[in-house]
Amino acid sequence: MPMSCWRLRHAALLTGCILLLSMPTAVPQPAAPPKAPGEVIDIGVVRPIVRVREIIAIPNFNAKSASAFKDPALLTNIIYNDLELSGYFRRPEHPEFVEQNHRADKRTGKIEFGEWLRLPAAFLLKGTYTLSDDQLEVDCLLYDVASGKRIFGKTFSDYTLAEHRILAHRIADFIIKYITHEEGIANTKILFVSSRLGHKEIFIMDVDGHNQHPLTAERSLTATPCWGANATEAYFTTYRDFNPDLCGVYSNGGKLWFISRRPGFNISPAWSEKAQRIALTLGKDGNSEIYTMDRNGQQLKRLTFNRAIDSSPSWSPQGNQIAFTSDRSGQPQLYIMDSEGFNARRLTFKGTYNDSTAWSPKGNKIAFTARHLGVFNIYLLDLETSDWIQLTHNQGNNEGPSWAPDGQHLVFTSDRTGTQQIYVMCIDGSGQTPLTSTGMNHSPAWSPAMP
Amino acid sequence: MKISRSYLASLFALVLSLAVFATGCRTSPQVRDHWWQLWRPAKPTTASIYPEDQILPPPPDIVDAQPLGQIQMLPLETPVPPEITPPEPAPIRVEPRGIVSELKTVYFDYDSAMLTSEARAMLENNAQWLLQHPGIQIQIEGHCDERGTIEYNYNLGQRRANSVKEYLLSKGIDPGTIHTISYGEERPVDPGHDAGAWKKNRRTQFLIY
Repeated sequence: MPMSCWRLRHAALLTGCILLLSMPTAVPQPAAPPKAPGEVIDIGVVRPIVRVREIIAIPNFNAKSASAFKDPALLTNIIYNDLELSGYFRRPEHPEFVEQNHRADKRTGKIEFGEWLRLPAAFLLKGTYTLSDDQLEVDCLLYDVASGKRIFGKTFSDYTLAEHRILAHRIADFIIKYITHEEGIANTKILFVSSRLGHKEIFIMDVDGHNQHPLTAERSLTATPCWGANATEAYFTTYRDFNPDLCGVYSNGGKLWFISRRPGFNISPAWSEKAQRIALTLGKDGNSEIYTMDRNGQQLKRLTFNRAIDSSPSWSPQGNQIAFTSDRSGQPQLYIMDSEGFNARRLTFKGTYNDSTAWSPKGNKIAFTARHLGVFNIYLLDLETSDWIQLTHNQGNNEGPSWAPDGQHLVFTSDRTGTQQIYVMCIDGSGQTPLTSTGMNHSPAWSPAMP
Repeated sequence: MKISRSYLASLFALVLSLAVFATGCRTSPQVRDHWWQLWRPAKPTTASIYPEDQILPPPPDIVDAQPLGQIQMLPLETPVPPEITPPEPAPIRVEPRGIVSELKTVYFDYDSAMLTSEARAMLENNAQWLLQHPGIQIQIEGHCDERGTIEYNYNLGQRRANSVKEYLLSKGIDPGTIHTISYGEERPVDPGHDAGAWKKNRRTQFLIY
């Protein structure tokens, strides 16, 4: 079967890229920058290998119906964007040739793969759509340009014109899934805190930065959002009643409820679907301690017992361990313990300020924020090799990473433009793209895979 | 080369006697594995050649060095914590009425919740005022500058509020009247991005209900 041959070849190629990614190599350190007092100079990080991105050409879809989009690139722009975000593809450098080739194909009635190869393009997605009475249906054909073979053909139906973004995301996810065998993330969402209304509220947006809207109207201060049960709930901290209380809200808006109103902190929640519990920081004992509770805020279990700060819990994907920040050694460092609070042990012995753990969905890495020479950057801690992999390189301060459900992307906060904004990147540190620009935006939380 | 039998026999006897002598020496029941178990600090002389020198008392002798296998490892997490900051009283869920000029704002060093001597002097005055006005419920707000992660700064702000609270409690203020809250880096006094602004923002301020 030629198609399965093709799939094997490309799957092997892409798997190779992923394997390369997971095997970081040491890079000679650049000349040491000037020493700041009290900082360790060499934290011995490794740089990831940046993955290869294949070029995909997507000419504008042709209308089969009488009515057509006002913007002919309505769907293709979204698909391009999603595919670039995935880190496996990039768009051709000369988009004018894409349309030129497409018109030539239409004249001759067949696809001139030689011309597409000269673009150059590895993949070609051709589509047609039918738009009638607000109903949208799209037929897609994906080709391997080198061999001229069709990879798949698929019809996407039952969408309204208003849902065209979801439709385009589904097409992008289908391509990703077919070629990489990974679940796509184009239809996932991101929670964050924004100050654009004059006070900090919890916002939600699509993963490409579109459709940003507030979930709360607390008119005080909100903080540390996380995703909750069934990927339909979100938990966050509100100062509405002049105490940092834990609240829940549905991610499609609407109802809001209190989960924990204990005196002092009820902050930094993290939900585990496996354990069906919220891990969070409570301040009721006089200092910050980590507890777990059920989704109603009951069945409280205390996990840490000391005078130091214990904060920012993050569940392992299996729900049996918790990574957290503690300054019991005198500085904030990363620790790990069982979900019952036993076997606490220190993970990081480098640097003087390590915080905001985020456990990868595959469980083998922890993303975190570290201060080095007074600048905050995002690192990955490989739990198998204990290597630190540096992902951001002093483009302002970068903090607060959160994993995409595919384990290939991270969202984080950076102040590289002067104000805090939310950025997305691949786990090789490539493709760092801003998602927000209005007001101050921070504390992003990437949703699990959407049903 | 020819070696005589008697020469070989005498050599053998010498080696044997040396071996017997060596084992005979190891008669002490205490097994000493490490050089530091043998080490004894020298006794200091009673008079120093420098008269102004203070003579330290001799350190206690190491009598029974414990074998490594019997050293009790302390558990990482003691089950009962040494509570120095008492539990937070039930929050008054209304906005504090505001500040009073007698209760002075206290400032901190970067990434620290230690009370400086300046801060202690301020707090001494605040404590005096609070002792003269018993029954007043106060809120101590902990704040940070914009450096540091947002999440950790919430905790650092709380720690600053706690260290102020602990100081006030040591002066005899009723723990039920002191409420603490942390705003992290979210409520700066000075929105600037320089050392001057940061200095003003690393603070705890006092509000009364």
